[in-house]
Amino acid sequence: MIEAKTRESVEPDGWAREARRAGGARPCETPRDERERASAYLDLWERHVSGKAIRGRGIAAPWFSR
Amino acid sequence: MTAAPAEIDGRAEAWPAAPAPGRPAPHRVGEPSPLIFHLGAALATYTQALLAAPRADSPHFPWLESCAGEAAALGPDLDQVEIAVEIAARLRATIRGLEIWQAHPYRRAVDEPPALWAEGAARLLDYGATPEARDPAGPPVLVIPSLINRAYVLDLRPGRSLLRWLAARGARPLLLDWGAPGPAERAFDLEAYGTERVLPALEIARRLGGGGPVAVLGYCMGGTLSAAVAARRPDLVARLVTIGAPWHFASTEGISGGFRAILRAQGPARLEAMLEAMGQAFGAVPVSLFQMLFAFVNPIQAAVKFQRLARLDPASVEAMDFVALEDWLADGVPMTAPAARDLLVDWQIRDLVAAGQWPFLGAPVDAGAIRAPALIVAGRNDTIAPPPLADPLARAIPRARLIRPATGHVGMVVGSHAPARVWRPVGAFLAGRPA
Repeated sequence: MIEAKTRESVEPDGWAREARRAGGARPCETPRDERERASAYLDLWERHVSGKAIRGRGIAAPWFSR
Repeated sequence: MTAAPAEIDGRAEAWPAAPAPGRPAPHRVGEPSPLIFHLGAALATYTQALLAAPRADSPHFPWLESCAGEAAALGPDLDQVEIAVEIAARLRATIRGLEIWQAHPYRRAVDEPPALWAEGAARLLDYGATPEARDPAGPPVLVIPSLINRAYVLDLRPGRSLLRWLAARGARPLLLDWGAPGPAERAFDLEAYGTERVLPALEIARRLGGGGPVAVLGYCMGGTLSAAVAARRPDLVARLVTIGAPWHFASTEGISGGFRAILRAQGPARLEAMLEAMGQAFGAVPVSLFQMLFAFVNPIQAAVKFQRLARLDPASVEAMDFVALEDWLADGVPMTAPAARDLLVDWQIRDLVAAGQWPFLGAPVDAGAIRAPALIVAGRNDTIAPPPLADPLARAIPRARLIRPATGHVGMVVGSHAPARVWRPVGAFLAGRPA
């Protein structure tokens, strides 16, 4: 059994508090479509890595091999 | 009140807030092993996604064919800052999913049926004696599971039990639960498991069925063993069903196939020595070796699946199913060194099974000698016994029927589509009806 301690589980709002303290913007002020593109890209990346891991060639990052 | 990670980075749509998990449940056993690999592999592959983003729309990028069109449609100049923030959200969701699993109150509470026979660590469990059984004296079906994970995946929880489902339709499943190898099995190779465990269990099943041949159903490597029994002793087997059974290991596809190719090129001596040393050091080959091999199949799978748990309502049936399955995955058993040698060297590296050169029950196994009607179930999305490994069994058995449901290896026995896509045709086949 493991007990994973993460920043969020110890200090759930740590990141936001630090951003406020630094006087900086919250890290999400880019247009919504850029966020959606980033999310869609990572969805695609996950499928790509899974597919290449299962059906690709070689053992070293086959998602980069042709 | 704590802020959920989704609120912190503004990705509330993608990662809805879930209640903060509590402390790990005291009954929880094990971990998604090897945890450090799962987390490290997720971090590495997501970092690679970040690095690759500027060229993601390049026609030269080696996208999987099925992804290329969508990649092009994403357009140029992906924002790497946005991608990094999304990666951070996903990695946090992975950790959160792990925490939810650890703290989840679900605990398997299934009344085990009585054992008709026990020898060493093995027992033969009678599902004809369960409350679900329609006919306690129905036609026996000897069920042979894998030696790697616990047999109870075939009776995971109410509504997710292939064995009780079959019993409710008139069959009498008899589960050969291998148990964790103890002193009686320490020196067992697969031949010994065959002669000392499978044949006696088959004999009991036959006696219960009136003395004639009986149906045998095997899952995963238990399916391979079942086919081997049907080939070597066609007089004992009336019908054969295999689910997710690997047979031909020549494929070098994927990371698993790549490892097979490397080990094959090196020759089996090194792997044999390693397994022998593990057996001497630990008394058996630890389950962590097999969990490592499974993890290599798809290095990002664990991270993605725990993200899925983080999105579920922890009280939902889906979350309960997830936790039940994850508990089972974390509850593997070691394998005796001689059996592991047979599995990893003779099956995987030497590929003796499909070549008809693997000795079992006293002589080489020839699937062409199987006379019983056979149903081979090979999941299209099975990554443990993928189609190149599983389909050849159907070709090797005369007049075998092959069905290829759109499910994965474990999904075939416990997935939400399992009853319609797998259990029903299996039940019909065992009853002698058209599926």
